[in-house]
Amino acid sequence: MRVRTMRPGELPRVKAVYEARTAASVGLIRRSAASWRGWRRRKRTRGLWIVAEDRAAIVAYGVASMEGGSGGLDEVVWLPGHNDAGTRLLDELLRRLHRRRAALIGAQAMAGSPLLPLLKRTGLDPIPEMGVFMAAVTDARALLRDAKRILLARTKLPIRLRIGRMSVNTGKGRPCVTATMDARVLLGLLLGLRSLRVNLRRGTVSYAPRTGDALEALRAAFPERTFSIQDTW
Amino acid sequence: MPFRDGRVVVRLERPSDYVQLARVYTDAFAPTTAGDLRRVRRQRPKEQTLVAVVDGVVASAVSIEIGELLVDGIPVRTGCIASVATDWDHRRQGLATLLLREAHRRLRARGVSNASLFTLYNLPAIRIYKRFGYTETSAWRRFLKLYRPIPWLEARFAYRSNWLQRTPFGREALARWRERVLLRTPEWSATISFDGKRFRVQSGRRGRPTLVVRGAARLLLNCFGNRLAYDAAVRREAVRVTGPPEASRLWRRIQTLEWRE
Repeated sequence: MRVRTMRPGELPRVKAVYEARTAASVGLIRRSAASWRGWRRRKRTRGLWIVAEDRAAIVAYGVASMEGGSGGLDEVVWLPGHNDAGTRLLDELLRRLHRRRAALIGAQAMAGSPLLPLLKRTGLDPIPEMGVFMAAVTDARALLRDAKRILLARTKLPIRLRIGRMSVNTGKGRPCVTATMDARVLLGLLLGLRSLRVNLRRGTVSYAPRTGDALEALRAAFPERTFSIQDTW
Repeated sequence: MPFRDGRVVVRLERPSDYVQLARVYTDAFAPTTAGDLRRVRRQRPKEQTLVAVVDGVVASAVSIEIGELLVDGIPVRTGCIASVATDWDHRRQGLATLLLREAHRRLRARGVSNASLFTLYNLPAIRIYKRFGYTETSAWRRFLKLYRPIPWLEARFAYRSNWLQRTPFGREALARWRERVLLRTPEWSATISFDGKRFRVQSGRRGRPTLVVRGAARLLLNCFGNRLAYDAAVRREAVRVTGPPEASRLWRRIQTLEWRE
């Protein structure tokens, strides 16, 4: 594997790495072509876009920035299965920021980010956490529609989701399980902000029939995922 | 469509609001000018900003934009709520609540199932968000390391030298400020002085300081531009400020760039 500076014209290959990561995670946002271009053009990131190449394929990329004498590790993303590339890129970005005599280096990652364990090993000091991502339901019926699309992609087993008097069936045929919960619990489960196991134990999610097969179907619909987002607004 | 609730009119912002809106953002976040706002709006053309106007004055604002969170690659539309700000004189009057309710109504009308935002744990606004059902949360983890404290402090105070002279409150404060401040951490110390025009940062102790600020480097630097972090650190005595109370109060404002109590 080779770590090098990103070349002009490689932005589509870098975007492909991000998109591959979004397919295997929960919470990243869809970025427009304009936002990628704007980011790439930013002066403060000049020379700080790097990629990891393995057998002529870009398997990871990293971006840092320098502004007002301070350096920031903006983003490191790797294809699923190339965790070592993340470590290599992080080390290289830190090396480049030191070479530019960054007076301070900062980084942040969400609690569920795959980058977090790597950041803990960089020697940067953790500071008291202050920032938080928060989500709320605005329309329970629309949420059920969103849930249906996600569950159809996750499992072929027909499942009925129920929020109060509203319900939706995913898949065809008689549902193998009916799960009942609050709208906010459903949102939390979909976004990986809640764990199905914990919410079953607390009784905030109930299901019927209470069989092993029904539980398995529910686990397939809401696998244990942790929310991770890189962008803020 | 704008709507009226007593003395308050809620509507979308207009370019003519930028000067008043900049004042609201300066009170809530950081020094902001109308020019900054014009630039930000050009960069984010899809973002809508709702304002609450009280007696003809813009007093509160909320920005919304529809984004897409990807769940296993499947897009889920989310209402991105940002820049929730209220002018200091109009706080605790329910303006942010009014604007958030309108923002949620607009999101519902467009079939968006959820809204999301980023905030700080210790902001009073978190109570409003929880009331609106923002219960699904995930925390940021932050990491910092200061390698060269003097150049970093020089950059912070160069900003203060430039910015404070351009604002009425800053000019008023600096007209009285002649103090020498010693920042002391276990690893390094620095003296901050002011010659009437610019701040000067020097390594180590220089002369007799009026104020001494002690604490871990990572906590001291976290206080720059962040009143909440500063107040929390001082309350826990993780950062200790010794010196005349009036100078301490003014220093807090200079360090955090927060101009209201």
